[in-house]
Amino acid sequence: MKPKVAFFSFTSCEGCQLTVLECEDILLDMLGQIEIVRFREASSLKRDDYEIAFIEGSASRPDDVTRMRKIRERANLVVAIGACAVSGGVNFMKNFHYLQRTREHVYGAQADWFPTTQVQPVEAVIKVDHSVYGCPMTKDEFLETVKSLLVGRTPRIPQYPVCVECKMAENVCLFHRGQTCLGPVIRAGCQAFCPGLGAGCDGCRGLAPDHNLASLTNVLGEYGMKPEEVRRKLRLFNGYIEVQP
Amino acid sequence: MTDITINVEHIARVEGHGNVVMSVRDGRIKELRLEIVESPRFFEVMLQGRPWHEVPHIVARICGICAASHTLASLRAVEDAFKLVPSPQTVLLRKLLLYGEFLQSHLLHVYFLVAPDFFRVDSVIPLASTHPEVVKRALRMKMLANELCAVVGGRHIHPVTPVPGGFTRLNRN
Ligand code: SF4
Ligand code: SF4
Ligand code: SF4
Repeated sequence: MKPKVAFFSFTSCEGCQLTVLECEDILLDMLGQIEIVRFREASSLKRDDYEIAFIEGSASRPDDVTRMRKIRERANLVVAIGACAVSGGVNFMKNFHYLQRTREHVYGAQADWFPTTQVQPVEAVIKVDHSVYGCPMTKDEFLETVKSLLVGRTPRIPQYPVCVECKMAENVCLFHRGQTCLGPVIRAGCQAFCPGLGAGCDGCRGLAPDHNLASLTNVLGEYGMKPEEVRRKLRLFNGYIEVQP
Repeated sequence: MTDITINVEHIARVEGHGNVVMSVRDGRIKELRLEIVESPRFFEVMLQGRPWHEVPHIVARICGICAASHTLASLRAVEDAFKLVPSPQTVLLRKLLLYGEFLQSHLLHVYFLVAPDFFRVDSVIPLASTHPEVVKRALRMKMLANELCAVVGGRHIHPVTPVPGGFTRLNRN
């Protein structure tokens, strides 16, 4: 029996769902192994007998919490896909502004037409079994997760920082070129994608376990960044760490 | 004649979120509403207090399908603010990225979102068994469009290399 799989989307850019469709070369093989019973962006099928639920996006509307809890009740496994789902991602920056002022700034007199709450990652609402990191999540990590769930093993996700992959790719460290980078504290798994393209890591994959933020803050200080600027930089994708239980 | 109410919650196979609500009385449409139920993100506020060089990376996240367009529009805004004129080469490469995105998005639309309606199936998945050659060709074209974006922007969903003034790195292969 093929496992029944559903995809759900909350507050997000839908880029992680799109990443699933962008697994072109392996998409048909993958679809042969699972049965998709719900995937609004790609299918009109709407069934609730799923075993694995992939959730994209954060909770940020009043009924999002109820919807997420329903999914948790029905699914055996819940997988958060992408930074929005895992840690709030860019959405979380909204939480550092006053909510009512935020609403009025964008929607003026119609602010009440667009109900919104503080942003919460999925794990703040329901139990999450697995996470696929990144903004967008990487295809490889998504496929690794799907394959692992199919054979019943734990997905192999790197526990070391981006710098390790960056060294293995033999990139010249951006710090040598006077640029800054969050690679030393961020979870690898993207093959040091941004540094490989000459752009500093912005931290979309979240903090690596055993990171040393204090040390990175010192180094960034030597490159002219004040501690509050380091914090602001981290807030781009990782504001959640400031309130995480 | 009876009254009919049709309520389509979350229209499938469209980019973005919408409901259609329709009520019919005596064979005439009394009310027909398209409700946009997209979850608001408040980018205008999230951008406040952020450094200018982050703007393209942040606004790309408005939409994964048209991330390159948002990136390019914001680059233009930032460059306008600095009165910076990008080089003709930069402009050409940006256009290439944009066309790659058009291609990718149109292919997605035609083959993944619309085609299933014409064949009266739920999604592209059953078409892969009934029309394998067409689906495989569509996937190959989509892959090509993605690669075009990647060659210029690093990747299609949330490009990395385009920055105010040019690119962090040009692909020389
Ligand atoms: S994690 Fe990034 S790519 Fe994925 S849905 Fe959120 S904003 Fe889009
Ligand atoms: S460029 Fe960034 S990821 Fe690469 S080695 Fe330097 S700090 Fe680490
Ligand atoms: S280098 Fe950093 S910002 Fe870039 S994809 Fe990897 S984790 Fe994300």
